[in-house]
Amino acid sequence: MLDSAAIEDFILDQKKYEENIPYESFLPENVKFKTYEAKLSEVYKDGKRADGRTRDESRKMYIKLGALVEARGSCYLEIGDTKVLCGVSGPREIPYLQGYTELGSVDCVVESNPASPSDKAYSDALKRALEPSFCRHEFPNLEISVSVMILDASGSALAAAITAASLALAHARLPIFDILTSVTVGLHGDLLFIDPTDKEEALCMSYEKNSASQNHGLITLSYMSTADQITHYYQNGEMDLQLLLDTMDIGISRCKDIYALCQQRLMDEVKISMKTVTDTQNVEDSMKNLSTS
Amino acid sequence: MVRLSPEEKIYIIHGVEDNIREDGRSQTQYRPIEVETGIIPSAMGSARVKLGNTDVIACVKADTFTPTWNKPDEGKLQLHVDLSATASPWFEGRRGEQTSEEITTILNKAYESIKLESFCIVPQVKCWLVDVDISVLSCDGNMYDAIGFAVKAALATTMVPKIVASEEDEGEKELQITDDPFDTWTPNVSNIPCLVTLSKVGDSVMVDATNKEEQCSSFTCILAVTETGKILSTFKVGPGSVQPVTFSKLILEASSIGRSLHSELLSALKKENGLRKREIHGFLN
Amino acid sequence: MINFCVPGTRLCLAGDTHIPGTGTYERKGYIYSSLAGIVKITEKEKVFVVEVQTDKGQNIVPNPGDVVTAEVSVITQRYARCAIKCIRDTPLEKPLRALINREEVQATNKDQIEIHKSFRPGDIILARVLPIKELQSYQLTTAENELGVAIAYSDADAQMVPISWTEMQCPVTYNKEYRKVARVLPESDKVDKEK
Repeated sequence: MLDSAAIEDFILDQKKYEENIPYESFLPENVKFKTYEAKLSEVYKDGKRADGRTRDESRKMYIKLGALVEARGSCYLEIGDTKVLCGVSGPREIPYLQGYTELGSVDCVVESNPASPSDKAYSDALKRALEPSFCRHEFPNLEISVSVMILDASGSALAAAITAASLALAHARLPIFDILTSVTVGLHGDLLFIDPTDKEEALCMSYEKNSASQNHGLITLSYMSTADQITHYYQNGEMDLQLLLDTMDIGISRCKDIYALCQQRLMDEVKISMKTVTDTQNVEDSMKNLSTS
Repeated sequence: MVRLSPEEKIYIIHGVEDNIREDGRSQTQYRPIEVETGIIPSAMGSARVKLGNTDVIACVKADTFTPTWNKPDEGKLQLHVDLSATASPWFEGRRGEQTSEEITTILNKAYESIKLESFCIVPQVKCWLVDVDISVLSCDGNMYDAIGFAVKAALATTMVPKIVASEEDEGEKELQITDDPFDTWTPNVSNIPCLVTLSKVGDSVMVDATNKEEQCSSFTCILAVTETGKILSTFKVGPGSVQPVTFSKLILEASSIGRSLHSELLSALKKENGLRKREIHGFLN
Repeated sequence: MINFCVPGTRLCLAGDTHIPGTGTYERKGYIYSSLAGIVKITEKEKVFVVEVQTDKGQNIVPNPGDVVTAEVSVITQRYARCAIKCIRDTPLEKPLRALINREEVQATNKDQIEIHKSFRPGDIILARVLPIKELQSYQLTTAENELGVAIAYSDADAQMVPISWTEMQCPVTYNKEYRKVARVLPESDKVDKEK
């Protein structure tokens, strides 16, 4: 039986459904409103995180170079569940260029699935991170195109994208000063989480109102190990100054660890890829030796 | 924006390294800052900040909204930046729109971590949504710092009408705006940060870069610093890289500069408040 | 002994004896690699040049002095716009825009040059890259005997045959058209010379 009150409610409900309402708001009360302790123990309990790591362990990384056949250079990177695919092509002319640019540029496009967070911010961040590592003076008026597809963003998506893009540039045999490695470090209370998953990132961006320490936040940074330069830095959250600096140092040392892994992987790929060239050289050398002896 | 020859860049870099910049300032010196609040009477709060030749107006309006289920007693603060072509011909057309989108995103992220429980009217029912519209009238470098001042000054002098919740039967509350036009409340701005932009020019770090100095910077980052010197967020803008050692020094300097900026701004606002009858200068001078 | 390297690998000390070549850069007195590949040290005039060779060839960018192959796209009275398709022997993935000014078409009689009598849209030309100025497109010149139109098609879509340094003839309609013809050595002549 529809009366005016019911019709009004219905119209208001309709308006409500026009906005994006997250499905969590329809969960039962006991699931929706958990205590802070319950939320924290889901993520971190008894010194171990949800996936069994300690707070200063990174997830396992998997790197595959040359994943895309059509691209000049490509890299597929997995950190835990986060999966990122990067393709590089170029150099090509800068479209709609007015005037002359002495330094080349890197045009970055980061796409994510509808399930993953926003793109334009990531694209700008990736461009700012990559440009200092790229030998721009060798490509005046030209640009390199980097496109990244975030297949699954389960924490540290931007860090994975930056590392993958740098490896893809190296695979494409484009001149770069150094391989860029990037990490995310999260802080909640006085707990430090290295390489957080998406649930841990959400925890680090929230704060417990009544607790003693209000420190929380995320730091994403990317670092060139040989040149000792930070190329990208983003921090959000509230942190004591000394804690912030310490967290940054930890992030940098973690970047150096990943760098060793990336270097090794790239070296393996170069050896395999240049096998035909080196084999021919070996044959030529031995032919020379034969003819002289 | 401004095209500089390599020689001009070298001149500016050397000047900064010698601690005497083009206009005679030292590395940690700001240009003279002028703040005037209440210049737009139709808005709930407004402020105009002149930082050298950079001119910025912030305008505050408040509206109510139903808070989300997971943050039932927090309000929202939204910022929007509009770069007019009068500020610089660089901001004409699409380029201006793109740049203002980028600035808006950075600003909203910087103010994201501010706790806004004071903006609550009735938990789970209604909270205040404060909209700050920023217009950049003239740009001579260091837009972010000027915007930070303008936002803080505007919010500190905003007068939002009070909404009273009266108990109805069945526990439902009815919300009413007060009839008295002078019955207002002002947001607590103690946790609103100031933005400090630091640029690395040559081997030195400096603040408050003009347009020309911005072109010579090899690394620029913006830090949102609270009154107590805590850093709410940090953004690196533009191309460039820096050594971690230099970066740590940069952060420490930003923290101390931020603290002094806050105290200067608050004492200036207090002085302005104390003036019995104040003529609003606005744009006539 | 083959030395592999990745970007950022420190190769050797820089100085009077060792200079950075392609694929390397110098920083704080050392030579570092900027590419992933094999290190090659060659001796040139008593100095060692340190280079990195890769399997994907060199990064091809038109340098001043290179001979490029381009296709003419638009002609006006003052210039001919073209798209660079090959640099020396390497074809490009994406063409690069270039411009030939009226004064750069021929070495002689510069004031009597008419673009429409030198090039037409669709012609394939050989040209040399001029020193880079601060302009949007690359500047090319055909002011040499070996440079100019190599392949041109007539209105009847037949490849024209050069009959002089300034004219080409269509083999189907026997119409003559004006072009600035390049002195391209035929393949067979080259082989004879080598022998």
